[in-house]
Amino acid sequence: MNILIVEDDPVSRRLLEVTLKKFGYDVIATSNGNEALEVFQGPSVPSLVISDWMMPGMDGLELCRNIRGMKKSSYTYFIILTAKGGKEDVIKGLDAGADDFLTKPFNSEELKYRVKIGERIINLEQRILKLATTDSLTGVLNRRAFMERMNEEIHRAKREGSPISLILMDIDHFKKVNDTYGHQTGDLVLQRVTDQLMDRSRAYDFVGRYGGEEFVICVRSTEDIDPQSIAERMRRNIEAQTIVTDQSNQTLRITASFGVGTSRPEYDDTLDSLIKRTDKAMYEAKKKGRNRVCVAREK
Amino acid sequence: MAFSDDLSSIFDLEDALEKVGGDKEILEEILVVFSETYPYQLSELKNAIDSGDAPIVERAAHTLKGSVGAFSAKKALETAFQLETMGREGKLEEAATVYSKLEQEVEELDAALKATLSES
Repeated sequence: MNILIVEDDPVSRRLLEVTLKKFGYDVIATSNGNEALEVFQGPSVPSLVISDWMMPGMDGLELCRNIRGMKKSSYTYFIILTAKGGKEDVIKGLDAGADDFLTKPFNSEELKYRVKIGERIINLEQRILKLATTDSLTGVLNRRAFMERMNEEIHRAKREGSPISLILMDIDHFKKVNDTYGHQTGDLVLQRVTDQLMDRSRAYDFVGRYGGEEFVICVRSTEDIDPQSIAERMRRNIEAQTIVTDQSNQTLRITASFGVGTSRPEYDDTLDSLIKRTDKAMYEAKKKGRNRVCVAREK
Repeated sequence: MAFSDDLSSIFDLEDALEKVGGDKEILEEILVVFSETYPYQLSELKNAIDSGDAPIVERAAHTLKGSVGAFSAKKALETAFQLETMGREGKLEEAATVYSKLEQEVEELDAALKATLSES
């Protein structure tokens, strides 16, 4: 876990840093609120902040309010340091959004357990977040989580001036699988197909379940790689795969139809317009006899 | 250096060690930082008193209080707290006198810590 220290007094700062490192945490030490906020712009956003209350410039409360006002994908647990017998008002601290208090001079054992409480909350939050964003059957992103991320990616691609592609895939005759082999086998098919999609997507792409037997894949920056060939490889892998049913040891084969849509910065696409184009391509693949990849017409 | 009091009245080693979970190395590490920074902290405080800047007196004394508190230096902590209060209340008449006391106590603390921690 990443811990950010914000403390203007060098002695207290070093004490926190050395003690927390000894406990095995990754520690970043800063001496004021502005430096602390800069850390939040960097690549590794801290999960837990331990900040002094009284500091020149931005004080601990203001820093806490600033962090609470940020749009972040995960929670930041905030411990505020107060001086024994100081004038700081606990209620003010809670009102600013602090989670806990630690009185200076503190005892390392107390620090350890206060941080552990924070760690517990952070871990719980991460588990809940994972549950809320994952499709429980296949383990890929659920529809809402995929759409949120895809939306961010489209904006980012636009900012960076790079293209971005969407692959939409629908399993062919899936209803027949369910009707013939039962829903358990249907679930198994969805899982096996997901394996192939995951296997063929690159580390920086991501896969989501769009609906019943429909899946979506985000293919980032497609200058060096053709999204159509990624879809084609996925299609071939699914077609080549033999699925053995759990109960009767029967084998079955599955095919899927793919639509590929690409958004370029100059298109001024929204997530909606990109999905519509890609969806059309996918239906074209269905219409042309299924088990194929169709590319959406460029805008 | 001759101490005006015995070491235990300057700081409480047992208490300071307990606070860092008995890890003497941590105390040694923060002593290095303390020795480097307290002269600056003192001069900031002195300047603020000389120029009658009460809010800075409060803050600088508060910071020093935090530093010496890490070593369980009760006397210096109380004196720093006295100055912090003076700063907060804007009553700096006695501040220069109290500052002299604090300066002496902090220097004594630094020497006492060095003597004790390099002992064994």
